[in-house]
Amino acid sequence: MTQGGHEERRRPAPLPELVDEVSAEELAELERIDGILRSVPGPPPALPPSLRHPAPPREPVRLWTRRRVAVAVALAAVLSALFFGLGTRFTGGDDFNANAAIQMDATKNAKGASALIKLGPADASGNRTLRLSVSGLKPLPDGGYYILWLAKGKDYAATCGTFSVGPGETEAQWTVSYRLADYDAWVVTARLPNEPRPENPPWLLKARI
Amino acid sequence: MATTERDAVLIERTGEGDRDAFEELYRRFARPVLAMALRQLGDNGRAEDATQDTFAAVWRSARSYRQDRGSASAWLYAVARHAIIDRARQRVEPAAEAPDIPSGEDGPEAQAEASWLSWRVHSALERLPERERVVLELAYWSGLSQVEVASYLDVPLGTVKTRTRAGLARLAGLLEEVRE
Repeated sequence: MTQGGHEERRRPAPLPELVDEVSAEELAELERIDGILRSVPGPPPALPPSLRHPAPPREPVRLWTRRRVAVAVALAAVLSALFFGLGTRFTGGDDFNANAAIQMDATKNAKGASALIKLGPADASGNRTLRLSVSGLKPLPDGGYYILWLAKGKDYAATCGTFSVGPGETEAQWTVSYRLADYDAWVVTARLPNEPRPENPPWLLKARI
Repeated sequence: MATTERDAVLIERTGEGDRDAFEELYRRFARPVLAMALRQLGDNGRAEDATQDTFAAVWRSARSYRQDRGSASAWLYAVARHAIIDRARQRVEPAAEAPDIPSGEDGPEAQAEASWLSWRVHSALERLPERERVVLELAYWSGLSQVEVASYLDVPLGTVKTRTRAGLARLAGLLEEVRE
């Protein structure tokens, strides 16, 4: 839209052509601003695609916020439970390098279903791999799919990925860069084909973060 | 809440790890930072890197901001300037002898003043309603006449003049302390 001061530009019109019918006092004030605007280079036209959003902050400002402490405690509890009870589900003969696992429980909308999320360690850029092992969900009609979300409150705040299921256990794997401390829960919903996107799709599986 | 106070609150909330506040700061200041980086680095890629560096530094150091030591805008300007200087230092200059004729460019002090003024103006522009900011940018930095602006935006000429006047008046308030 603008030339950003990097190319030769036409001079702006004199102030009286830009505004009219102003009092002498107001004109004097506008002339001050007019002079300032003429003296500075233009702003860049628009943010380029690479700057539409800030890079995800990677360095936490406070290492141990209350929420992080709560998350760490919750993760420790989950890990303990897994080591003592469910541990074999993700350590026995599995090549996935998990350093945490979260059991997802079925809601009343998907009785009999269950899932386990295995979280890999974050790499230097803050990305981590997660693997979802799910069973008991019904295969959806052709074109339908399930979605794993990170939810905050009742909002579907971030999408981790989509998957379909077949008979037995299904595994899906994605790389995500979200800070789990920013969210409250993992949830799974379904998207049916040829139907408008529901505003509040029912939760089928859930796990608190 | 005044915009300056609002910016200060945003920095403080960013210091507490509030990502929403950080993203709002980004929306308000990314263009002024990019504009400054482009002017000083003269290279789109490095200017974009410097902009990202600036906001990474904002995220890291927002806790150190104190309202009683200066305005939010001045603090952000300082953070951006450091990030841009760091990027400029990374540039590999070809070996060359310094010219033995005086440069026609402004001295460092004048350049710093001009840079600060541009920052103030660009930051203030970001606070204008979009409809007012657009007509000012078209008039001042694209060199369009009011008739051309009206045609470009497909709005009546009277609307363009009203928005221009309102935008200039609003800028006057935002740039109250900038006196020539």
